[in-house]
Amino acid sequence: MLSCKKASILLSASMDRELTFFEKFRLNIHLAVCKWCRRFRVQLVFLQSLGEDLKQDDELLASLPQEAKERIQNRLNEELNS
Amino acid sequence: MNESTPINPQTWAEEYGDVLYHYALRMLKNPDQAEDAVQETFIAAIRAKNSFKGRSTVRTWLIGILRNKIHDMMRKKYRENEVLDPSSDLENTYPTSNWFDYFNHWKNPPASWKNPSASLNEKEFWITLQNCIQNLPEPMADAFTQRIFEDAKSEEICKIMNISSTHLGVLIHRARLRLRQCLEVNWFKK
Repeated sequence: MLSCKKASILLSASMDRELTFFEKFRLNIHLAVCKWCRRFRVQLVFLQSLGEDLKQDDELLASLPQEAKERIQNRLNEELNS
Repeated sequence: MNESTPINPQTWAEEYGDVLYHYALRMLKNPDQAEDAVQETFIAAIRAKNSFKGRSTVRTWLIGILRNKIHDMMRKKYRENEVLDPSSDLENTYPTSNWFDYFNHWKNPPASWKNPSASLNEKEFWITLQNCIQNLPEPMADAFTQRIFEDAKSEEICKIMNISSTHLGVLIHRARLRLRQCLEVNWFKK
């Protein structure tokens, strides 16, 4: 029977590659009786989804401070005029 | 410059500054480095403006240049500074004793998170996440952000960070354990 530690390693791996039949088999038996690892799986999937936000709302993005924008634009204008 | 695809660098800082900065900050974690990367991206784009053929949007083109800059910075970091010891014993270098006890059970079992996807609409959540990522040891943060925010393939990350795929797998796993706990303590349990 897999330990939670070993199950967590397989769950993490499953986010990045297809598990082998044997790995899936052992993992599913563990998950059937371990609600903590089932929660861990849900939370791993959530972590994976964080990368998809780049297409989201502009107001959620980190903003460049106004003075930084001005400084950068000045530098660009120098470059354009050189 | 190609007449049919005009680009307007005079307004780039205002138009594209935020989105580039957001991306750079997520990958580099450091606000000053992120600002530098944005500025260098714009300058490189101005110098290469003839290479923009209008096949993508200006935004996509600029992000592409930024990505390459960030990759170069990371490659340099991991080659020159020998941040990671290739001969290290992974289990000992990255112990899991914070999460699993002697019997390999959870020390602090994952709590139930209520409606996590609703958090994605809250700016404070992204700030909390950024802080959690900032608290990761650098190699774990770099491995995780490339995997999640760039959707980079393992082989690409291994080349940039100069590590084996096994090592990368361990870094990402540990990053996930830490981030999960950090988000639970600082966001979902509050």
